[in-house]
Formats: sequence, C-alpha cells, structure tokens
Amino acid sequence: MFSGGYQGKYIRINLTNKTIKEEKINPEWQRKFLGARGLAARFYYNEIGNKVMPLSSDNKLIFFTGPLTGTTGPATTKTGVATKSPETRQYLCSNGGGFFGPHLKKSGYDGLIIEGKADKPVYILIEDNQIKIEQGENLWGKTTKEVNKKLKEKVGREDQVASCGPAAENRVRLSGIQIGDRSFGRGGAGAVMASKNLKAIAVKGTGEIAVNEPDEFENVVKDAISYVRKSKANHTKYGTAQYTAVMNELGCYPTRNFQTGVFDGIDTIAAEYMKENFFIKNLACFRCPVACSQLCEVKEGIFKGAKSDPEYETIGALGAICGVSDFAAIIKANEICDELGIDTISVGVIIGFAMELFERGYITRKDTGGLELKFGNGEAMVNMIEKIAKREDIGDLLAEGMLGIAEKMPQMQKYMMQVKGLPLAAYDSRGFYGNALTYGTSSRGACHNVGGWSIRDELLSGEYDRFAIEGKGKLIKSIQDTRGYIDSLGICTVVRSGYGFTNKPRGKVLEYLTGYNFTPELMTIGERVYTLERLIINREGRFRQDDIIPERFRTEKMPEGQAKGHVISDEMYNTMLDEYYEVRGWDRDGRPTKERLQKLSLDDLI
Amino acid sequence: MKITIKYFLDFRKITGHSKEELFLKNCKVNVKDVFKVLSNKYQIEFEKVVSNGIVIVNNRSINQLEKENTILKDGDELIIMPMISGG
Repeated sequence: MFSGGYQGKYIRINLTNKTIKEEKINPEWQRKFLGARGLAARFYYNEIGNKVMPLSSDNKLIFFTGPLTGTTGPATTKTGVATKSPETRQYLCSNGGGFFGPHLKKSGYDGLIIEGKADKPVYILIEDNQIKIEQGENLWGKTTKEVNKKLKEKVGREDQVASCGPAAENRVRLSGIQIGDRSFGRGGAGAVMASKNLKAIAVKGTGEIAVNEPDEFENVVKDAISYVRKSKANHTKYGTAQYTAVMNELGCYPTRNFQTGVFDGIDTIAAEYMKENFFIKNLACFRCPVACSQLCEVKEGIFKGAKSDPEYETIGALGAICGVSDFAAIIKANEICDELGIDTISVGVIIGFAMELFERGYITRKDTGGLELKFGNGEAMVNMIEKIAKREDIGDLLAEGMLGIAEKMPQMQKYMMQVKGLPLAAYDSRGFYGNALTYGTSSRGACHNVGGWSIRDELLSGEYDRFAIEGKGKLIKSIQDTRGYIDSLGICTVVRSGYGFTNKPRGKVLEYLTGYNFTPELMTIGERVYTLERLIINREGRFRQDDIIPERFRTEKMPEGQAKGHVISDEMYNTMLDEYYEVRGWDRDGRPTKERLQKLSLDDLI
Repeated sequence: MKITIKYFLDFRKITGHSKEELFLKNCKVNVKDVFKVLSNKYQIEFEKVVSNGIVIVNNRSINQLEKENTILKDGDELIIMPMISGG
C-alpha cells in the first residue's frame, strides 16, 4: 500500500522471557491511524485491557513513529508512546522529540512494544537490526543525564537514548522518560519503564527511509523549511517562553495555584529577562530549523551552575503557579526534574497545591520536613521536588499524583487543579472559556495539547469571543482532531503549518513520501484517533462525570486582570459540553454513537 | 483623550517602551489613527508591522471588534504583541 515513509514492521520485546521479535504492521492500520499517537492507540486498544494495573508487568510501553519521523522534512523528530498511566490510571499518550524516533525508524522499524518485566535491571540497545537486552545494574540509581551520557558512548548522542530516572525507580507517578533535553513528560511513563526494570533504550539507526517521489518531496521540504524559519522566528528567539508575559497580560496566567490570573512577579520570569540574564544557546531536535529550546544557566547565587531549558509550561508550573519569581530557582527546578525524571508540569502544579495547603494551615513544617512551603519560596520548591523524587516526608504522598492525594485527603479536592488525575497546564480557563473544554475533554486528562490549544482561535478569530460559550464545542473538536492527526505524523506541532497541516490540510508532502494520498483524509483520521481514544477511556470507566473542570473555575470569580469577574458556572460548562458531544456524535454521557463509529470506520471495535 | 499602549517582545524593541500613554486631541479616534500617530513617532510603517501581530483593545482582539476601524474612547488600553501559535 505504501512505497515510502514506513518500514512496515516493529520490534516486540518481552522482558520476562527475554524474547525479541520482529512483527509486521497491518498497513490498513497505518492508513486508518497514520502512525505515532494514532497507531500506538490502536495497539493499546488491542493489548492493554481494563484489568491491567499501570505498574504491573502486564502493562506495556508502545512506542511508534509516524510516516514523517526521521525524513528530511523540518522537525521530523516525534515519537508517540501509549501506556496505562500510573498518574491517571487510564490511557496515556505522550510524544517526545530529540533523535530517538528518527534513529528507531532508520534502524528499520516503525515502532517498539515492550512488555513483561526483567528479573534485574536492563537496558535495550538497538543498532540497526541488532537488538540486545543488556545488563543494566550499573545504571540503576543513576540520573537520566548520567545514563544518557554513558549510553551516548554506544550510539552517538544523548538524545538517541530514552531513559528513566531515580524518581521512576521510586515509582513516583509523575515520572517521565527523558530523551536528552526532551522528554515523554506527562502521565508517568517513566514509572512504567522502571516497573519493568528497564532503565534505558539506546538506538542507533544508519539505514534509509524510502521516499516515493524523492525530488518532489525534497522541493516541498525546502519550501517548508524556509517558511518555518521565517514564520517561527520568535520561537527561535525566545522559545515558547515568549507567551509568558502575554498570557499574564491577558489575565489567564495561573498564579499561586490558580487563585488569580495575574502574577506580580512576571517581569523576572518573562522571556526578555530570561534571554538577558540566563540564555546560553539554542538547542534543536532532529532536523529542526527553529531550535526553540533555550538553554539557560544560572551564573550566581545559591543555584549557580544550574543549567536547563525552561519552556512556557515549565515556567508557568514552577514559576507563577508556585508564586516563584526567581528565574534561577526555575532553572534549577527544571534541571533536577530532568535529571531525576519528573514531569515539570505535574510536579509544579502539585507543589502549588501543597503550598496553598501550607498557607491555609492544612499542612505544617512537620509534614514538609521543615520546609517553609509558602508561595514564592523557590528554594523550598526545589527541595520539595527532591523530596517527591525520594518519597520523603509529604513528598511520599505528593509522589502519588492527584488521584492518590485525593484518596488520602478527599476534603482538599477543591484545591486540586486537575482533570482525570492530570494536573492542568499554564492557562486559566476563566480567561478563555473554550480552554475549559480543552481540559475537560482531553483524552489523557487535563492537557493543553491533546485537549486542543484554543488560545489563538479564541483570541483572534472573529468567529469566537473568548468570554463566550457559543461555538466552543465545535471549535475544540476541530482543534483536537487537527492535533490528533499531527501527533500521528511524527512532526513537531510548531512546524505544522510549513507542511500545510492545519484544520484544512493542503499540500502533497504525504503523497510524495508514501505514495498514498492521505491529505484529504487527515481530518477524518484525526477524528478517528480521538474517537478511538474515547472508546478506550470509556472502557476504562471515564464518562461525562469525568469530563469536569476543577471546582475553582466553577465557583470562584477571577479576582483581577482582563478576566476579572469571570467564572465558568456548571450551567455554562454543561452547555459547552453538550454542544461538544453533539458535534462529536457522542451521546449525553460521552459515548461515541454507533452511527459515528460507522462513519469513522471504527465499527469493528463496537 | 488618553490612550495607554502596552508593547510586548518585538514591539518593545521597535518602540523602546513596554508601555506609553498617547494624548490625542481628536475625540473620535480609531485604531488606524493610533497607528498613524505611531508611524510618525517611530518612523516605521506601523500598520504593516502590526499586520503580523495582535492588537487588543481592553480585553478583546480587534478581530472581534471592528478591526482597525474600532473606535477608541478616553482611558482605553491597547495591547500590541506578536502573533501567537501553539507549541
């Protein structure tokens, strides 16, 4: 069916039996789900059932690249992973950049499924078609940086290595998988990896990826690169941090655990301040002309020497949400999150929640091991991340994630900024009503990406008012479906428009690559992926009652800024949710109807 | 009438300010008129530069109002920032 873009096979490794198999991929699945996030979800549907516990040996890590991963196009860097999340206890999809996916593809495989559990620590080494399970006891206990540096000697670059850190070894439910400076951050895939006694996967691929019409493909790629360079100049200059001050001005920058949308310490966490005082150089993922990652270093003070590349979301979570205006503390916190292998968003929002409990007197210095865990205390925030990683003091409870904390402290749920167990990103829905649906209906729990990043459309489109509920169901569905196919292609979303990948897909890049005319089908594929994910989470017990936003957004008016006075009442939210279900073809409880499944050729899954 | 303008990122570099106040004699002024004043002040075609950015009057984008014909009143706040896109 395809004459390029795909290798047509994947590796299945069972760590219990130490078996390594090469298996073919049904091309019909690739036609229907593209690759990466979509294809990984399709395998998840078949292989990870309801009874599988996230940290049991029955859980699997399902990695897939997309058709564009590893090709010469701009930012063809992404790989998707699907697994059952220890943090949300349901389906998780996460995508990561760096050079890991491109090398997996060049080694001759579209994906990698890991199952079972090794009897002692191991790592996987893939060098083209030579795949080995190697002894990894000497790597256990090491930070991701140490592991990736060590395995770099075998494969060439640190970002060809995906590893989990000490937090994952301690089964911290917020632990990610680190790929050099990038990560599969959200949902706790790192803890799943460590529960299998798997410390790392190192990949080196030297093979080719077939292209159906190479000359035409290269012409499109050239145009895409030049468009992206120009249109994403601010991403190169400032990274995603460029939005920090802007979101604050718009009154939706979550501050002190979302108690307000305006941060008074904004000047020292904004992009310009970061550039002037901490920036060293840009870092780039595979074939990326944008290089949005801004490597920063602390030059003086107690965090002197700390180095990391804080993104908008990280600055939000470890900055304003914790009330921290000391950018050096944010760099340090980001560095230790990367090294210990913890998701910066989840940990920041959970510490922000703990800070609010501390200030309200529900927890004290006895619980925090002596830390004065007040908003704005950057040093305490950094120390608390270490306590979470080591499961010390209240860090042991916080390491359980929002769902685990809610079980122990049910009366504190009103302060928890999460949906389906996943902490929110750095946008306050009271400043953009559609963003409430983004969080509420995102298939992996509160996520600004999977759930559909609505900020631009809500702000700029003449069609929508950011403070109105009308039309938001239709808008969020369209953004989610767009993201559904983009995450399945193997590219970074930042460069998508360079290829013509919008909500009205155009161009011929996929035809030139694969020989199959995917473009007219892309939005349907995106909807199919999203609906498949919904079938999965329905199966896992998630319905309308789980598509709910935090109590704070529903009951507390925004106290200041551009969104002052705004609140999203239950009635307003339910009206948006009803509209969303209707345009999605889901019933009132949030289940896809038979008719919609038939329309999307998913009726074989009924 | 007095209009407050806040600039972000590139627009701070162009103007050298993060915030400024414009005092306009005419009482019926729209966004386009403000751009003309800024073009003269900074010797740059402001309307053209802003076409790649976002302009907000009080808390709404001019795209949701009357675009550049949006009428301003005394005390209004204008925000001028670069285009945003997801990441």
